Amino acid sequence: MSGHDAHDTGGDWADNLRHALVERGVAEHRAAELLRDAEEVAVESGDSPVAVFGPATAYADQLARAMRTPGARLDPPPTAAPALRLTGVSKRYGRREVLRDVSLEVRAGEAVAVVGANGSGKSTLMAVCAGMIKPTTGRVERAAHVGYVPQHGGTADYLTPREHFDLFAAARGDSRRRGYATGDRLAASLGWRPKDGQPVGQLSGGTRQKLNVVLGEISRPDLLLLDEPYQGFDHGAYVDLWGQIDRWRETGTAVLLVTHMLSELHRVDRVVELAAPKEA
Amino acid sequence: MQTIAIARATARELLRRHNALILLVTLPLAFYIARSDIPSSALVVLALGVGWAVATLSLFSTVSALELDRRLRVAGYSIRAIVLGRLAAVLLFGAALSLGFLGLAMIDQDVSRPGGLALMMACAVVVGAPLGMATGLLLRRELEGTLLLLIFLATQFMTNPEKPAAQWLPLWSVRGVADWTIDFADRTFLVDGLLHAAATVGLLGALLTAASLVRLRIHAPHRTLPGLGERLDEDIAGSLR
Repeated sequence: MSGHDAHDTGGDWADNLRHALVERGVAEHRAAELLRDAEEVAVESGDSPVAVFGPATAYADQLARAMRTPGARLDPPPTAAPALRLTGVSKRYGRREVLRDVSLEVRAGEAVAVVGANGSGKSTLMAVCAGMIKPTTGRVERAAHVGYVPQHGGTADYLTPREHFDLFAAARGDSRRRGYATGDRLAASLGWRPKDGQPVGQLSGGTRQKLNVVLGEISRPDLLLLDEPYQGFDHGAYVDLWGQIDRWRETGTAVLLVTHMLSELHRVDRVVELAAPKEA
Repeated sequence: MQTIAIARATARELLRRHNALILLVTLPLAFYIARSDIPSSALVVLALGVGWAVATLSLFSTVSALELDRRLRVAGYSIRAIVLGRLAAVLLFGAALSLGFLGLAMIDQDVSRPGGLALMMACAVVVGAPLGMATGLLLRRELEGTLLLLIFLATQFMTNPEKPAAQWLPLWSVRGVADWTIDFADRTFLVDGLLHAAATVGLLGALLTAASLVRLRIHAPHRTLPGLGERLDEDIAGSLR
């Protein structure tokens, strides 16, 4: 049955499926096998592949996720120690108060979401947690190894993703080879396979954000700060990210996440809501 | 290792900016051609052009990498590694540019003191690189930084080097060394030029250090909480007691 050529079962669909599988980290020979299987099932059912499996990209998402080996599931640490503790943190710029009296704690293996209206200081809070901004008042206690994923930026347009892996892995003294291997593995867990030679400036917004997430994690932080990390993600990548957040928790990483996606708040341990900005 | 990683990344980035590299070469070349009717003057503006090109390259490299550098600081990079790595990459480009133009001048003119011409270029590069970087860290904006460099370097071109005020300009050393190289002036001109370059590099180094400490600073927490690795170490030590 494998003698069917792609045009018999919808050439575009077949091409899209193969491309989407490879893009999601499936090896090319394996993608070709999966395509052949899909074509056979479609022919047996007497229908077109799109009628049987739906859009190629969505089907590739399902296949790629099913193929991924889940991360090691460790028992949660017996005594989860805090990795971040803020006590009465406020930030003012002149007379403008951007953050007011925030107290929160994130323990190892916990995911805490930060929500709030636009202008409530969510990104400022993340920068305070990372040490990039000094709070006007209040106390910050945090683990030494922090990974920070900004809302945008923080990458170099002319470097490729793998060159970024090399750069960020060197932060903890890891070799280039180890940086590549770790980066590729983390990218695959988000359904992405970086292409050699493609600079970051040529990546789509969603893929660039996947790179940002990988770079936040590559130096094995105890505390991961994610500032709306899913901007530009397609549905599959969004689902993968939440799966990844679950794996971080299982391996004892503390996660603080700024999100607007209120429908997913049941997946975190606690939610911290920032006060809306005061009207001038 | 961090310094090498930054230098490698900066060099790769610069090498991929093909249009910028073409303009980088064009700037000193244009100065040289414009003054080709006065060969001795052409050598001076060539070296000043190299300094200008290196300072601009350094400025843009620093400003465009500021967000990335702050993120690398969070990831664990030291300020020293970031500054030295980026500076090393820019200096390398400056050295390559200088070598190329040194070769051009040697072919095009009868330079009786080629070592002096090399020193003029070296002064321009070692002053231009920290000048651009310090400007970038202080102003954090490309337009403002470019205008400040323009003020410094255009004034350098237009000021009579004999005037005492000219010695306050960053690339005066090029003129000093040029007096010895081209006009066969007394050896003290060479020494004065080199001392000026050394003092300027020292001053710019101090400015660069201060600016980088402010711009790339990561505020230490009031208390550092033990990470997973440290907690495991404590648990193992406790179980052995």
